[in-house]
Amino acid sequence: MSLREFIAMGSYGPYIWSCYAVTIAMLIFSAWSARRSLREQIAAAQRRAAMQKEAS
Amino acid sequence: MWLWFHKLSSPPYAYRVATQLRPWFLWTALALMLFAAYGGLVLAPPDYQQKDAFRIIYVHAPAAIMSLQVYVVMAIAAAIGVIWRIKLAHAVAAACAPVGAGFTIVALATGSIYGKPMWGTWWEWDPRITSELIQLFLYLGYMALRASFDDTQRADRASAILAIVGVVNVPIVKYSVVWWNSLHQAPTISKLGKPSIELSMAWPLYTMLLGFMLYFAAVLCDRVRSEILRRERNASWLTETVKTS
Repeated sequence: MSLREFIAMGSYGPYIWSCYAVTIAMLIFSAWSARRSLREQIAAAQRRAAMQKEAS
Repeated sequence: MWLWFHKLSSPPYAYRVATQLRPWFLWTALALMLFAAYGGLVLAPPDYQQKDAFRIIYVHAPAAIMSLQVYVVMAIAAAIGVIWRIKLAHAVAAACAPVGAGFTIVALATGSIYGKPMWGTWWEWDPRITSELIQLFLYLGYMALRASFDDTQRADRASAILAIVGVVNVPIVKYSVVWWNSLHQAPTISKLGKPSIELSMAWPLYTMLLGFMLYFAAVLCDRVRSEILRRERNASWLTETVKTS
């Protein structure tokens, strides 16, 4: 099987590759947004900790 | 077992466990998904009816199964939170929703793209598709309900009720193709006894599902950690923990 044949997927290529693209995009976005909100929460907690230290 | 359960429900311990487990879940998930994609796209032979288009099933079906499974996890966590008043269970339930919504969107989108060459239409108000759309609205409604409360405890209780009541939609989605005349094909893999699918076609499907489950666990680790940080903002153990992370 050539690469061209593999990408064409017997004329169903556009359907198949767009499905895989949608899935990969969701997986990346979902993991990234979870990471981002965790980073934000950690940064906020660190700011609070620093403020507490100053106050004491 | 109960001792372990009790220990895990303490936020500092859960926070540490989630931090440690995440890379294992994530890298195993990635390896499994790549392996499954190779199996599904390259190794599996074309279907005799659907030709190569059936390869969409390797992302469509696992995503659809996850859209229900994540909801069940969310509803159980919410129920545990309500019944035993475990705050961490509410945090887990809240953490499930965005990931579940993501899988539901993928199930609907890939289903739509799958439908075009197979049924000749992008969308049909078919029992399976309509109930899966309701599944998406349940996730979105749950998240909107949570966001509408300033008080975390009230958000927990109100959204838990929605999560528990909404679980009725799970069997409706699952059995919609059996109960009603549906355009959607009948189940091929989850049938009890002998599945009506060839092994070379089936293993990438199960592998992808396992990959998605571990991916979900990995993302859940991150989301639970941010929920704990948000809820325990005044706890003294947190100040110690965030110094090092």
